[in-house]
Amino acid sequence: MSRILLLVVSNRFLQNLGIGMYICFHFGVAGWVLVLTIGWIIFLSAFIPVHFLLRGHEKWRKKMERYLVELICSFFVASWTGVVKYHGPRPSIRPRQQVFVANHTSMIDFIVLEQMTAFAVIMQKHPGWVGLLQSTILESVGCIWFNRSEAKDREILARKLRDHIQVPDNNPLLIFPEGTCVNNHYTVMFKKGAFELGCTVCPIAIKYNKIFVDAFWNSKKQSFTMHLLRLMTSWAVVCDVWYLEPQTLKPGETSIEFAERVRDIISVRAGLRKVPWDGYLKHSRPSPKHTEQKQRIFAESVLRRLEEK
Amino acid sequence: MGNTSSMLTQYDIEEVQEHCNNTFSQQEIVSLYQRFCQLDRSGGGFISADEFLSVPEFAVNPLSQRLLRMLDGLNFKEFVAFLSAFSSRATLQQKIEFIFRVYDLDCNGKVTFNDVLDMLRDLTGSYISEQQRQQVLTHVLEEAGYTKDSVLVLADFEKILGNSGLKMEVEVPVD
Repeated sequence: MSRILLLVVSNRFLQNLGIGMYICFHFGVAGWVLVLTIGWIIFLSAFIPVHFLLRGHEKWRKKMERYLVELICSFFVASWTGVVKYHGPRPSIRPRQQVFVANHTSMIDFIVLEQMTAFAVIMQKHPGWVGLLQSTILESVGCIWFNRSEAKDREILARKLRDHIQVPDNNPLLIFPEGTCVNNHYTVMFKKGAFELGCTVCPIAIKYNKIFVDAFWNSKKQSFTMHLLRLMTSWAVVCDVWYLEPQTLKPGETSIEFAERVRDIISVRAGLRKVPWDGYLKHSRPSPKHTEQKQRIFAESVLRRLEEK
Repeated sequence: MGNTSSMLTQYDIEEVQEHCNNTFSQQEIVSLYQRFCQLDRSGGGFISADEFLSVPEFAVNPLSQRLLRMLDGLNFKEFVAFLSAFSSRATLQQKIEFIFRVYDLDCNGKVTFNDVLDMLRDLTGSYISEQQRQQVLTHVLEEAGYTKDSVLVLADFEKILGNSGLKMEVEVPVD
């Protein structure tokens, strides 16, 4: 603000510009506050009765809740002026066992995808208000939570995933196999869990246009709330979503090769570069195993030369 | 937001260019500055050893500890000067000087049998026995016309690597 004030005194032309910007900024803030408030009012006034009154009618309740979650997600997208272009057929519930996998840039990926189709998603359990939403509203679309720090959770999670896809009535399952947010220039290695379920894998590629705002959520630097705020105060969030051809495990293919193949498909479509790193390197150092492997390769070539002599 | 590059004026860039003998274009220096700021997590204007190790490719390099002794606590100008050996505009002489510095850990301008042996130890770890290492090295030195007791200086490196078709170029991505 002080900068704008400085401009106001210094120059008449800039004065007009400054006031213009000030108005635009306030209009923008009012815009997203309004959109979100209306969204939440509509959502809550419908969701709470549906959730509690339709106890006996599971089928109806599920259908309504699914619809409402899609609705609140579209309000979220609208609040940051999301300009999202969806390419390809829209995913839906179908009797065939399937799991959707997408590249991951920010938690907003989930909101962007959710507004079209109510997915059940696998997510890290978050603290704070996001955690509250997770355990109340998102629970109802069948989302599955885990705690990365708990090793025991892994097995439980794998079982939950299997159980979920068995039931044809459940919402389609969405997994972000990178396991961490990547800056939307690269794809890091996929975790193989999603590819071991033995069902059809439907890739989804998401590419953000950074023209107005960078949608990458750097969780080390920003809380999710601040991240959302930044998106909301920007002019627009522009992104493309591609629903790609479903893939199945080829005969003789391991789940790791399958994961790599799907990563290829997503990377090519979204124009991302593949890097051979585990996404968790963001939080920890690579193991000395990698260094030792390099040493082994070099040592072998030296020894080969030595024997030739 | 992400606009840190605009903090470099053209004048600043020229100064950095001069410092690295014009081995990088202005665009490349802007790119390197963005990377430098990303790596400088503490925002102190220099990159610490710990911050360098946050680059996975660097952390798994068998020579990373050795390189860190050259790299620890570099500011931006020094950082660019360090990287200049990898530019396609750098002369062969500059590249060889860089390689020599990697070998010459104690910076006394001389590389002995033991210096090279240390290097080989870093590179091969436990996959070659100490005896084999010495054997290999004796071979290599003899092939190049030296003995076990020779003390190599920069000029020797130039003689050995001068017409070896040395390739040591890294492209700086510019957007």
